[in-house]
Amino acid sequence: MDFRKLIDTAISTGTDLYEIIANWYMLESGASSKEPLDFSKKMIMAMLKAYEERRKESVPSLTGWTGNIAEKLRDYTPKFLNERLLYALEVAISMAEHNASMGKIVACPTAGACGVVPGIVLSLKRFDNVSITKLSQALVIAGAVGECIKEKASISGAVAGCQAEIGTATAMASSILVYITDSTNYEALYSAPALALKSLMGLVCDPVGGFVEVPCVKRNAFGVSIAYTAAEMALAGIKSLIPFDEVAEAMGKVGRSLPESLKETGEGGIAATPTAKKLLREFINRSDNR
Amino acid sequence: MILDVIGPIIIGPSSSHTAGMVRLGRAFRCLFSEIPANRKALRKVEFRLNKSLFSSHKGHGTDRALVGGVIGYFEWQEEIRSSLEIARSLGIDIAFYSDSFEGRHPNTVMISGSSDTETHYLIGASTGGACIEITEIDGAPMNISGIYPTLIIKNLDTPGALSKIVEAISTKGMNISNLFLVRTNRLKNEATCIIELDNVPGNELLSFINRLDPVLYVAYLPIIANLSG
Repeated sequence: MDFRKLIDTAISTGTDLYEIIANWYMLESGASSKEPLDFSKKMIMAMLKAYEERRKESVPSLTGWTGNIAEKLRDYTPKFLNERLLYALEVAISMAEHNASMGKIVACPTAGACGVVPGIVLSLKRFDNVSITKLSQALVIAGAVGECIKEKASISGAVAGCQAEIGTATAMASSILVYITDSTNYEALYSAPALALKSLMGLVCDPVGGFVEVPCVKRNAFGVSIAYTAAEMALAGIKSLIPFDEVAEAMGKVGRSLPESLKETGEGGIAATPTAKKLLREFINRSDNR
Repeated sequence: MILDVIGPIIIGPSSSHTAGMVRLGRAFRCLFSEIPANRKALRKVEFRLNKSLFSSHKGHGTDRALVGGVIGYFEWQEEIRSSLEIARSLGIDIAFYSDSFEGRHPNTVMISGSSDTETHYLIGASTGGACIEITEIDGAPMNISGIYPTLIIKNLDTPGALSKIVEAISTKGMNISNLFLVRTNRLKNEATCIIELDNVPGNELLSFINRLDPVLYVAYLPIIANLSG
């Protein structure tokens, strides 16, 4: 499915993009057109709950390499960023750290990239008082963005690298920001995910030891800041010269041409650095001694 | 579909190394006809993980996820974290090995195991975002993703076998969405029939098919990619 087609249908029929996607879902799945909204609501409630749970207790990850990063941001007064962005970064990292310690999270779109969308959603709720229903509609839009990427490329780091995980999450998150701000700004709705995905094109999946911790947890925060940047640029009227659907195709091709060592095997990129190897050795010794 | 992009709710840390693995484990469990009634029926389970999966399986909780699925938990249940201990208390023998599955998805795993009366194996992959793909069961190649209620039927490769099975299903007013039939063993004259249904079959239908002449074995895989956690 082309995202462009969904947008064109919304424009030509004068119908909200959310309705178009809900109907498309109904035709594809045979289920009720209300199902995506109900499901989205459930996912948003689960995101809120996971964040609350994480704030109560910061459990270290399976390796112990991460676990207290979000706290550092929570107790910090930003020098450059505004309060909203700092909060969004903190939520993103909280979710990613919760995930790394086998916490219950929403795989939106995957567990490794589970912080980006909640970072955006929770910051919209807190700073703009956006209702759960409106946020859920926006999440359905994001779902269509992610689904298009999944069809044309992949959302799996093992198949196409981190661009497919954090990249997809960031593209999805940028569309939420645009939709909430101006749901009929179709130019921006089509450009924001393209700008986001282009900026992460080629990002490799190089987790130390193969674990969803380093650099995955911190990359969730960067995804949030890129999502805000992409949405601001798109809303300012900056158009992606390369259309989103083609960017998604290109991302898939880049992913397929990446060597295996850069696709979640923990054998390339930062995972192959001397420090990474040392960290891994220490972890293996610790777990063998236990 | 949109829903598995914006969800589901799972126990971390990886939708492909953890959640998808729980689902593969649960699919394997369904191959044993006596298991739904008896959690302790499984005796021994072996997991062969594609090389890269194996090297990281502890830090990902892949071991806990696969075992959690095999003993019947869902990907959103916190018991996954302690599944190895639970399996031990149930007396199930568990072993992990590294293997190489060339030409298959990088996240491919083979699960084999036995109860007192049955032995089965399954090869499948966790393809990202908790989605799975089952590519082989007990010698029969296939390509199913657990999004339909599915019947796996081993039958004698004789004329009319398929029509008897299909007739039994249609008599119950059920619709078949996809059907594959493969001959698995010419010597033993066996075939495997994989039927994806639009509706959930009742126990009555399952035991009826089980009693049909050419049918040797029936396993029922409920929808594995169940998003309603």
